[in-house]
Order: sequence, then C-alpha cells, then structure tokens
Amino acid sequence: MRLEVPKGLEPKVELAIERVLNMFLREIKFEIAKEILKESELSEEQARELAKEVNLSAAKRHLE
Amino acid sequence: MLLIVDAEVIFACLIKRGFSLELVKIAKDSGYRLVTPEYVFEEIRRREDKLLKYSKLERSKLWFILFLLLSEIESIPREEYREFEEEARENAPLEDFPYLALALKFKRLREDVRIWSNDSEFRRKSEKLVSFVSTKELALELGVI
Repeated sequence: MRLEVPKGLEPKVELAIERVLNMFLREIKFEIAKEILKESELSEEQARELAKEVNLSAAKRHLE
Repeated sequence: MLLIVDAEVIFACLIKRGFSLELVKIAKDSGYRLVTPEYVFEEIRRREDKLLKYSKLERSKLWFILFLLLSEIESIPREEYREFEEEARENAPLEDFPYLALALKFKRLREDVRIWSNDSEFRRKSEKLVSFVSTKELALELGVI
C-alpha cells in the first residue's frame, strides 16, 4: 500500500499514523486482556478482600 | 470528567465474568480521566502472590492486564493532594481517606470529579463532600448494561 503525501505535510502524516497505531494497539491489548480473563478464577469476594488490604496499607502509608 | 478509581474496581478488572475492565475502556473512550492515589498500584504489586494464587493466571498474563490498567489509570503523587488529607481523614473511613483527599483536590480545581467505588460505608460517610458512582451506575450511564 502506498500513500501519496503532499510536500511539507510529512511530519503531520507521521503523527497521524502514530496516533492511529497507538489506538489500534490499545484495542488489541484489550482484546488480549479479555481472552486472558476467560482463564481467571478470581472471585468478587477475593477481589474485595485484596482491595481492603490494599486500601488499608495505602492509607497507613499516607499517615507516615 | 474525572473518576477516582477504588482499588476494588481495579481488582474487579481481573474477574472473569465482570465487566469492569470493559468499563475502564469505555469510560476512557468517552473522555473520562481515570486516576487513583499514590501507593495503590504499588500495594497491588505487593500482592502479586495472592493474585496469582486466587486468579490461577500465569504471571505473564496477570502482568499483561496490570500493565494495561497502569496505562489507563493514572497514579497521582501524594504531594498533589497532601493538603486535603486532614479534611479527608475526618470525613471518610480510615482505609479510604486518600481517595477522598484526591477528590477534594480536584474539586478545589473545579473539576467534575466523582469517586468510582462500590463501598457503601465510604459513600455514606463521604458523599456530602463529593459525588460517588458505583460500577453498576457507571455501566448504566455509559450504556454498557
């Protein structure tokens, strides 16, 4: 595939391509994450337990 | 618009049948900025062993999702909200006050800020100062459910 870029617009086109590629990569990452999550056995209860621990530890560090 | 994300929401992103991860993506696509106080991601990292044990995911797969979350949710340095900690301590359960302090900082900056949390006690105690949204409410708002 070839893209004809008018003279002087090359830097803008490069930036646009980079932006589109980043968006595309992000979409792919979320798709991969969804596939990974199919294997996860983490329960809501365990998530709550871990969150409680994290919040308490983070709060304590804020008190130091 | 700004959402302060509770650690429970971050962990919920690792649940198979949950839709929190999808919500993170849709919220960002809808223009929300997602933030969390300093130390939250660090403390999550410290619980890697438990997360691996509970989720039964391979380490590389777990970290793939955690890195994705790190790229979507900004960790705000404590220095930026330290001055609001005292007020937050008086108006939130001990384990939740950093979230409220961060919210108060953005409120002072006249940002449209809400705390994304499913903790009813935290909400009851702090809602007089800052708005809250639960995962279900956010999903309804963004048309996910």
